[in-house]
Amino acid sequence: MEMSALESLYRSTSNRKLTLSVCILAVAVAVAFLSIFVNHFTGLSFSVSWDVLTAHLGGHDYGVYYYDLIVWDYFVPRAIMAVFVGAGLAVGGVVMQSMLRNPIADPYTTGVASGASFGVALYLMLGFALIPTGNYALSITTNAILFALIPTAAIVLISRRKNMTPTTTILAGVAVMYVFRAGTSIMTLSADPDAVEQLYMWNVGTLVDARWDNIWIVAGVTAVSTAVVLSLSRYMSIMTAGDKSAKSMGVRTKVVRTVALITVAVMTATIVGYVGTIGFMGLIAPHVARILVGSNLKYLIPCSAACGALILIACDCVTKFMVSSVPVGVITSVIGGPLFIILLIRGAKKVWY
Amino acid sequence: MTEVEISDLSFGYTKDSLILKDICLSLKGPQLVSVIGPNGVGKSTLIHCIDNILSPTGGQVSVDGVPVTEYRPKDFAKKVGYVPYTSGDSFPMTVVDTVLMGRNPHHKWKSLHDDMVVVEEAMRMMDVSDLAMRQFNELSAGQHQRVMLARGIAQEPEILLLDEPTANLDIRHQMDVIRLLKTLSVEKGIMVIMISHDLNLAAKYSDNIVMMSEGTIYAAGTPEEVITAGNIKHVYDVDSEVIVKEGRPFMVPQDPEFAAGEATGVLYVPVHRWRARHGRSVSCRGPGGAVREVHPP
Repeated sequence: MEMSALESLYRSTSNRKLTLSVCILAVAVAVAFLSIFVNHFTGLSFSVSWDVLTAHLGGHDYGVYYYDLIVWDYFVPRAIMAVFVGAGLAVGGVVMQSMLRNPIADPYTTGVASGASFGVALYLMLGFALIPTGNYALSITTNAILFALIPTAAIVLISRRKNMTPTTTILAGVAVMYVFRAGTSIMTLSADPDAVEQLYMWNVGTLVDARWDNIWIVAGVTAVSTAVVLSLSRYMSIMTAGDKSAKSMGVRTKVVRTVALITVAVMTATIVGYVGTIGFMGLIAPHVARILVGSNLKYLIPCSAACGALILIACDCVTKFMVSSVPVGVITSVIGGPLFIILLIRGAKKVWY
Repeated sequence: MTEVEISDLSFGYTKDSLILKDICLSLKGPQLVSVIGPNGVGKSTLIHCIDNILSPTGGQVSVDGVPVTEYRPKDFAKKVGYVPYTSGDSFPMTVVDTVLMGRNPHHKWKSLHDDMVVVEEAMRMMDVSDLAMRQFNELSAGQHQRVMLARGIAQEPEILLLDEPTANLDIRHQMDVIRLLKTLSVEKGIMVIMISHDLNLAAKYSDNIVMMSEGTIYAAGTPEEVITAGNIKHVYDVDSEVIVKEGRPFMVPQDPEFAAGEATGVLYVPVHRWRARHGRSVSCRGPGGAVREVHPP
């Protein structure tokens, strides 16, 4: 097989982009590993943390209840959770941006997160669970998922209408977001202060509730959903050139859009159901990735996932340095906002249109 | 032989306002067909209906005897390709990625090498090879157009639909593109259907012309049959004289009101710069249109 200069250049560029994503992911995993030892407020030393970790990896307890609890039952799941949550939110953002052909689409502007938030508020304030499981965490999650599907369904149905453009679709998403927010606000007015505080913590997003028994669900859903959207990436890339062009190139646009949006909605809702609404991840990670590898989703999805994982785990490390426990959602927004503006100003204009 | 059969086709976004009304058209065999007509007359809508992008409100379109709605999307994309007028401003990709999209209907596991051979040939035809690794949105409108054309060619369809393929191109590239489309129809046996606003370009190269007016076909046939002063007056409301040049009709718009117009503005070229370039004096048109000689200082 003889390769032309262009083909070998194209192949090497593709390989470089994938290698870059793998490297970022490797850094994220490394930071996640280090984050286990970052515990400013517990006062555990590095060597003690290391001993606890090696003891558990060797299959037995360290022996000191609090050390075992903090290092093995809190920090290790939290680090794993951060990697998957960051990756999942970023993938959710990148898919929504591509499917709605709008650079500001993310789980928030499309109303998915506020739908989930409404579902959680329903359970916390009124004790209403769509599927009465009796389990607190499970009820919150199922509520979040099911209510997140309402805005998704709205977006999918609206985007199918003949005279709808990507812009009107996202405007509809924003409208749905306001409706759900208003519903949540009405419930908070007459609610018990404890429940309001819980809802507040949930709304800013925090990783402190990560445990061994709930990270597997988030990790599994994120991995499967990412695999699904990756398998659709070639079609989704073509669809960013517009539905008409995509159809003429043999893409079933309605099927791809529906499957992709529902997949990321379920993923986002699951994540949001467990860790709350961590702001800005779905927006900043995909745009950082766009600067690095361009907009072909074959490379953009893996790179966004890697960037999301790295950003979230880095932000989580920052929260661990703080004396009082600041929710990681606050840190992502505080750091992410200015960083995002800098990126926009620093001439990344060839990345957007 | 490639065949497009359109019978009683009508289309409207709402029931009471139809954009296309009772279109009947039958095209057989490789040829270059131009669809002409004023703005908003339904030319693009017709193309979209042929490509199954829009579903007609009434009637149907068949390609090779099978209604377009009954094809599997990828099989249909191997038969019919479409080159849009605008690229659609979206997240940009590299030129080679964009052209590679056209290979989607032919995509197989590990087919990148074969696809790249076709892509490179298409890019060479459209004179965009040197732009291969550039970002699509860094290019000019004319370059966009040629990249989109390359994508359509890379798709290797039997019928190629084009929405104003020469709109943003300079005269050199207009000629190149339309010659290429003609070559595709003659050498590769492709049926090329293009929308055009340039009547003379359409008349010079097309085998057949379809002239549309208010959602219907007003005239169809060979260029000599369609490009007549009477048809142009009726469809465009433009007076014209049609002369025959190199065996093809050539339309010259007539506008007696402005024929002998005088220049009202002033054009001034600094003479010393002009002379530096051309080494001679120039004549300039002064106020009122009077020509005066300007000598270098």
